[in-house]
Parts: sequence; structure tokens; C-alpha cells
Amino acid sequence: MESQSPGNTAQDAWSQHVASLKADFPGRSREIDALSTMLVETPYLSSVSIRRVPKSSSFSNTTLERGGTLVSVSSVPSLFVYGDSGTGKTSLLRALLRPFELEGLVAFVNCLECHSPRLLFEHLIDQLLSAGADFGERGLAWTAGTELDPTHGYARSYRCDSLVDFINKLREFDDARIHFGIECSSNSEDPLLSASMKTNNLKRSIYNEISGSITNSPVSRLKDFHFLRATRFLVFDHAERLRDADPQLLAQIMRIFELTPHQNTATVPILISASPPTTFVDPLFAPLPRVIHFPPYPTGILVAILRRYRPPLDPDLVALHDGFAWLLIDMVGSSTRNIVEIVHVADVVWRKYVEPVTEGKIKATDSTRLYRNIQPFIKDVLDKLYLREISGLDSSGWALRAPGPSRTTGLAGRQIDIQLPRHTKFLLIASFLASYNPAKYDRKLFSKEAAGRQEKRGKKGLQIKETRGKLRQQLLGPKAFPLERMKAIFFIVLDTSIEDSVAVDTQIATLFSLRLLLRLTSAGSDRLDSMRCRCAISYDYAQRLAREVNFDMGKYLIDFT
Amino acid sequence: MPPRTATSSAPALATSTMESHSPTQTRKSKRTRSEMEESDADEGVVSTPKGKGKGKAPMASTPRNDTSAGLSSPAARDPHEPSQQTIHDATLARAVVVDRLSGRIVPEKEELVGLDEQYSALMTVLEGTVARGESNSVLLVGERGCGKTATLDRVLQDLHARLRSSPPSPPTAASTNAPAEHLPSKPFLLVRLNGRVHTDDKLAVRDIVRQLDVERDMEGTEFSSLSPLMHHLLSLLRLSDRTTVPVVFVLDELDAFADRPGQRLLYNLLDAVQGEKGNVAVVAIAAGVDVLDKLEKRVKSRFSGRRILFHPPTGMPAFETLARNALTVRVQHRVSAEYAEMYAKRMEALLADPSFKKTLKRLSELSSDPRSVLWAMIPAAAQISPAKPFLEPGAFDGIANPPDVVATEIRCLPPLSLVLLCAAVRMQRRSIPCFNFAMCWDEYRSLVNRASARGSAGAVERWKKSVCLKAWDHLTSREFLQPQGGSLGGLGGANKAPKEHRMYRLAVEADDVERAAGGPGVSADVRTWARE
Repeated sequence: MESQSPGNTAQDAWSQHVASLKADFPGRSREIDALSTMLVETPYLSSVSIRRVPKSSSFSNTTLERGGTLVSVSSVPSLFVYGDSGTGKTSLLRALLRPFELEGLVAFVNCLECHSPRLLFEHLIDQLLSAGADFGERGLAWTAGTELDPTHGYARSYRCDSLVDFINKLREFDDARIHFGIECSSNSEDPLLSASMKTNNLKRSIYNEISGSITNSPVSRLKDFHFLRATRFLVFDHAERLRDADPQLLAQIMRIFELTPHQNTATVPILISASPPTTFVDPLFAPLPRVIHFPPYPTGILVAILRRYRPPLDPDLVALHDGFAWLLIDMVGSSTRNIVEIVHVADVVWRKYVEPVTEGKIKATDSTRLYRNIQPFIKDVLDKLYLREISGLDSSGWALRAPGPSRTTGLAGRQIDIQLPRHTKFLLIASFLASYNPAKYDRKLFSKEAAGRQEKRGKKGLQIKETRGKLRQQLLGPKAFPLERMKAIFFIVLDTSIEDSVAVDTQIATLFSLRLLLRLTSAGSDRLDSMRCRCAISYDYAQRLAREVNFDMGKYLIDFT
Repeated sequence: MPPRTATSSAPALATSTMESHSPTQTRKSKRTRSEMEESDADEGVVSTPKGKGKGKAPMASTPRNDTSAGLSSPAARDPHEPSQQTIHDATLARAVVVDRLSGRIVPEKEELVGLDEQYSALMTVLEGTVARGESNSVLLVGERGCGKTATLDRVLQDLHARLRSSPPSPPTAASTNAPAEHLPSKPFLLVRLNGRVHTDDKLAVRDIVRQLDVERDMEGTEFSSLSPLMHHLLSLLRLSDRTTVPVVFVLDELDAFADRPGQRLLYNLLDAVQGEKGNVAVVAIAAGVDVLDKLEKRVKSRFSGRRILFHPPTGMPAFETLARNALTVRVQHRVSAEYAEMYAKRMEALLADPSFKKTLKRLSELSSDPRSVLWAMIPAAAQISPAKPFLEPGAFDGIANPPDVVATEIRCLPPLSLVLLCAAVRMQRRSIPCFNFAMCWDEYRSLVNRASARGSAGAVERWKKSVCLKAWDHLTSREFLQPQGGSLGGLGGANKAPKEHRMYRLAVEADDVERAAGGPGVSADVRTWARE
């Protein structure tokens, strides 16, 4: 019947797959091995496949003899894949589990996209069913509803918004697989099997029989039973979203292996997250799943990956690119080791780096001169690229060959071009002072007679409070203040007198709409006068404004450095 | 193969005796090929205890007959091909052990360590309902993972097997409620509900209907809303008497059911049980000891008050038995006799291994929950492969203290992030538990200034504030820093405090940061900052 033990063939097929993965994912062979041991303990070649086949061929013997399909029989209750973003967690898992995807045994879901249980479950089911939509001649009415039909407004005909529905749907799916498997087997050469399959009250009783006996004796040597016992993997990417949105749902999903015990197909949840596994612990529920850690890539591997991403090059430039990769990672590596960032930066910088060579100015072997060519501005450009201040595609950022003094940074970066009227600038300064100065010092700071008469006492009082510590107002951030207080400060700091207070209110409204001033109480309920606000500009920007209007802000600020 | 066919039609009463003999069979040291095959055939009976009804004889023979055509084709049994045999044996052994560790299969009775009393108590209750038509309710209480569900599953399966082989005295075929042709396959109906899954009564009732629907056809009747459905269901349950098919309700996570307002489902189910004549059993499972106090008076008075307490194993001997039971592979699992013998030897060696004992002790100290001890052993057991067909003591070494992945992550952080974390640690040391980016940036700047004043300038890079802020963002997204709400952290939504002033708390161990700063390739300045 069989020339080879199917277990052996499957093992071979699987090791080939794993070997090719190791070539595709440099520096990840340890993780591939760990995942492969945990998830694919026992690869089997199943003679039966639920893959779409032409309707005409009714699963003849030739179909079966083609070698069947690879399924995994594994019993890890759950798995947690931990690692920084851009370390290959998702892509590696996708590639690793691809062989099973065709069988409807793998589903990936991104919890960022699918934020509600309904989206989540229906997304999973769609993927599982898209593989198994065609269960042979009989077909299944229930799979028909999964295709998004324009006539129904692209809605599914089923609804699945709870775990109960989901588990039941999985059970239906397993039933269908089993029916189908039996159908295939009944055409097989195996006389014993097909004879028994063809007997009366076939489906239901066989299913009962299988679910009884197989779950008890996992070691049945009937290979088609491996088809039935195959493990299904549900992969939840960005699982921390699931945790934050609904801890109850996360707990349910983590226990899905136990909650589906009466089905032949085990369901294994795999969580992928960049958040520490310990933050997923729910004392009420299952023990923490096994963690597979994807550590950040070391420099050598980063270079190897950059090499994979390099554009098609002349052979003589390849060595240059290698040297460039080391140089770049040396420079960027101190602030980020994220491969996505590095590839983004490398793409642009390489074009600039190699430019003198293609123009024939510098020889490709002269890396010292090449470095010197790029060295004056690379640091600045790297920062700009890293912060996405200039786009990788936009080469105009490169015009800054000799960058000027660094511009205002931080929150003010984008406010620089807003030209405000003089009074509005004072309003902003006043709100900055109101935000950062405790109200109790207002009298000492702003009252005119106090400044004259009690300078000594006032100064002494202020000095006591100058902590210079890490809890000073400058660092703690802006506080909310009543608008009245800000206005009072405004009229004191303003060097000219102002009559029209309506204009001031208009200006304040403008500042609200520019979001330089934030309204903390709801807009509808309050009058403009009594509302609380907070200033949203940075110290640098406030200083700049003060300089522009010739206002000495420093003497009104407490504890600033 | 004649012996197989013979055993398959053998009276199923033999099952129990076979079962009790099986351990002794394993200990036989040397067996001939024919003996092995016989025990293999015996095993078919043992491993499928519930599939042996007389009416089902042709079906029951199916799985075993297939075995000859399956994975171990005759070639695999050929003694001239030892490698094939090893592959077969190792694959089977791994499947057996891992399935058992993960709980994918219901454990055998002898694998339930120290739960004999509970087993027989539960058996008595359920037997009463299923075989003698007494309604009953029982509560299984015990810590998580100590075997409540496993024992229940075992009892249900044994009961199932026993009833199938010898139909209970009131012949179920006389039932009027269910179609007769279904009856032989199901001596009783099982409805499983889980309080955490069936999160509201609507879901629960619908699922009850679905689970009962296998036998009772309710399709003709359309129910627009929940209450008529519930009503119909309850009237069906109340109708039940000794002649109908018994129903066993399993309510897992009773706490969650009890937390629902009104406890309607509990009340109705228990009320149905209370009737004199019905044969409905309710098995509730709860982890909390105080769950009975949570029940409302009217619910509690309908509950029989029968409790079965489950205790986690205590002491090393219990855990050693647990490990031994979980890791055993016998000839009954269709591995070859030679392999089973070798396996047993290696397993004994493993169990006697001092480092394994230490691991086990540590596991049992970490958690008295047997399930988490078993789960921790899965990765080690999964390493059984044709290349390494036996349990290796080395594989178990690390499982009690899995590597601290967060510490590894911190060690691999780029210098900038590490410096920021150092600043955060310094905040914490200065008894400022909540801090923001502005403070850490200030700290970083003053440290760099101090270092350059001392003349070691250049050792630590001067990063731009915006680059630092991006690194800070990265740290918070990795949850090394935990956002803090409250007065300083500010309001949510659009009015949140500006990014650099949002408050955070250190969510990693300061020691880990210090150790990471002490690693190779980190400048001496940073090391000092982390330590001070």
C-alpha cells in the first residue's frame, strides 16, 4: 500500500520547510526550532485534504496517492510570542504555518484591526472557511454564507459575536471536515476503512465514535485520523489590544484549548505582543502560556538583513554596500535597533553615499573619502529621517548640506510658522505663566506695590521655594488655570493698555481653535469667563515669543532653568 | 489478523479487568512479538472504553482495524527496519505524553492522583441520576487546576462506557420523548455550560437548546425571544421522569453564574432538579470556597448542599507520582515492547535524577496547581523525537525558571533607551515614583553635562530632545514604563497632558536596568549613573 511510512515523509517535508525558513530568516534559527518543536510536534501527511479541487474529479485514488497534505498534531495549550516590533514575529509565524493554511487550520487576526469580538471572530472564521469552502460534492450550506455577497450589502449571512458562537462554528467546521474526510476515505483503497464507512447511519455515529475513541487514544495509527486530529492555530497579533479592550475576552481566548475539548481538532491560540508576558497574567485563569522570545537582532544579523534588502547592484558595489551597512548601523544603532527604521534610513542614505561613485568622483574602494564626503551632514539627516521630518522619497531634505543651528525642537516644532498678532503673543505668554506658576505666588510676582515695598521679603519667599529638584513646575508640566487669572496676568504683563476686552476674547477663541490653548471644561456649559484652560506651548516657544515682543519672561518664572 | 477480530467482539465487561491488569503487563521485562501483538489488541479495548456497546460492534472495530493500515504499516513493524520503528515509537510516545500533559485527553482513573474519594463520590451521585433516575445536584469545589474537570470527565466517560455495555434497568428504549434509534448511542445527555463563556442567560439557554438538540428536535417551534424558549426548555426538563433520557448539566465557573443578577438560570435549573421524579443532575464546578454564600436564598435552598472538595497535591511524593503518571508510556500505547522497556528505564532514571527532583520541587513550590506543573513540562516532553527518542534529564533543567525575557530585552536595548531607563531608575531612587519625560530628559542632560565637565565627554552621545522623545515613546509602547493617571498624569482624550509631561512609573526591575548597564559595550558613565 505505502512504500514509506507517512510519518517519515511528513517529517522530511517538514524539516525541508524549516530549513528553508532558516535561510529566509537570518538569526532566527533558535526561535524557528522552538516554535517548530512546540507547534509542530508531529507533522503528518494526511491522505485527505480539504483543499479546493475541481468538481469533476471526485477524489479518485489518484488524488489520494499524490501524497496528501501536511497537518500538524500538536497539543500545546497556548503560546505567547514576545518581542519588539520589527523582529519578525508575525512574518515568521506566517511562513512557518503556511503549509497548514491551505487546510483551513490557520487563521491570523490583527487585534488592532479587529477591535470588537464580532469582528475578531468573524475574521477568524472567514479565514478558516476560505480554505475549506468546498467540501466536495455535498457542499455545505453553512459555508455558503461566508462569501461577502454584494446583493446582501456585503454582509455575512451568519453572525458570530461571542465565544459560544465561535466555538459552535468551529464545531460545525470540524464536523464538516470529518464528513469530508470520511467521504474521501470511503473512496480509498483501504478495504477495511471504506467498508466500515459505507455502512448504515454513517456520519453521525462515526463522528461519535471518533470523538469518543480518538480523544481517548491519541495514538491511533490510522493516518486519516491525523487529518481529523490536526491542530488548528489561531494567531492574535497585537494581543495587548485584546487585553486592554476586554480582559474577559482575552481570558476566554487563552483558554480556548480547554474550552473546546470535545472536538477532535485541538485549537491552539498564539498571542503575539511586544508587551511583557507578565502583563497578561490573569490570576483567575490558566497558567501563563509558554513564551517564545524573539530578542532584538544583534548587529551582525542586522547587517545580514540589510543585505537582503539592498537594491540590485553592480557586483563591484556589493562590497561597498556591506561596508555601508556596518557604518550605518554603527551610527543609527545607538538610538534604535528596529529593522524597519534602519531599512527606512538606509534606503535614502545609501543613494547619497554611492552618488560620488556613480558619478565617477570617488572610487568605490576609497571608503575613507566616501565617508568624509557624507560625514558632515549625515548625523543631522539621520535624525531627520528617523523622526520622519523629511521623507525618504523627498530628496529636497538633502539640500541642507550644512545645516544651520538646530531649530526649535519638541512641541513647538510645528508652531513655528504661525504668525500671531502682538497681543495674542502676550496672551500666550500670560497663559504660559498661568500654567506654570502656582497661583499662590501671583501676588508676589505681579502685584505692583508688592514689588516695590516688600521686595526683600518677597524675594526671600521665592527663594525658599526654588527647589531646583526634579519636581519643579517646569518639569511637571502645565497646570489648568481659570481663564480669569490668565486675563489678569495678561493685563499686568502687557506694556500698553488695552480698552477693548471683546477683542481679547476673540483672540482667546482663536487660540482655542489653534489648540495652543486647551479648554478643559466642556464648551457648551460655561461662559468664556469662568472656564478652565491649559497652555499647550513649550518653554522654547514661549521664550521665543517673549523675545519677539521684548518681554523679560524670566523674572516671572519660578524654578526654571 | 485473527486475534484482533476476536477481541473486538469480546464482551466489554472484560474492559475493567483488562484495565486493572495493564500496569503489571508493562512491567514484564521481555516479551515476544506475538505477546506484544496481543497486548496491542487488548489495548484497543482499554483505550476506547466507551465504544464497546454490543449494537456497535462493527463500528467499534473500525479504529483498531485501521491501525494496521495506518501509520505503522507492516513495514514499520518489521524488525529489520529499526529506524522506522523508532520513528513510530518516538512519535507515538511524544503524542501520548504531550497530550496528557496538556490535558487534551481525559486522564485515566489511575492518573488522577489522590482523587479516588472524589471520583467515587461523584460517580455515586451521577450513577444515581443516570442509572436509577434520581435528580441530584452536587458542587465540586477546589483550587484551579487540581482536577475537578478531569475527574468529572473521567466519571462521565466511565459511566458512558458502563452504560453502553450494560443498559440500565429501566430500558431507555421505552422513552417516549426521544426517537428510539438515537438511544443506544447516548445513555445520557450532557449539557456543558461555562460561566465565563456563556456570559449571559440568553447565550446559555440557546446553547442548552443546541446541546440538547442532538436528540430533541425543537426545530419546528420558532422562539422569538428568550423567555418562551426558557419556558419550553424547563417544561421539557420537568416532564422528565425515569423513562426519559437522563440529562447531566455541568455548570463550570459557578461563580460567574452566581454573579449574574437574579441568578435566573441557576434558580430554574435547580428548581427542575428538585422535582421528585425527574432524572436531571446538575454538577456545578467552582474554584471559590465561598461560592455557596453567593447564592441567593431561594437558589441555595434548591441546591442539595452536597459538596465534593478537591485538594491540590501536597508534598514531593505526590508531585513525583503526578510526574510519573504523566510521563509514562506503556505498551498499551502501541509502542513496541523494546521501546516501552527502554522508555520506562530512562524515565525511572529521570525521576531519580537529582536535578529533575530539584526542578520538580521548585515547580511545586512555585505553584501547587498541578496543571501548571504539568504544563511547564510540555516543552521538555515535546523534545522527544526520532533522534532523541527518550526523555532526557537535560531537557527539564530550565523549565522551573524560565528565562526572564524582559531582562533580556532590556539588555538588548540601544544605548539611548538604556540611558533613559537609567534616568527613570534614578528618579525612582530619589523617591519620585511618578515621573515624566521632561524630568528624565533634564536628568540626562545634567548627567551628560557633569560627565563632560569631568572630561569624559563624548563617551555618552548627546541626543536631540526629539530623538529622545521617540525613544521614550518606544519604551512606553513596550510597557517598560507604565502610564499613571491621577492628578498629574492628567485627563484622557484630547485634553491629555502634553506628551513630555505625561506621568509614568517604572514597570521593570531597577536591578535589571542596572545589570544591563553593567553589560559589555556600555560606557562607564552610564554604568555609574545606573548604580548611583
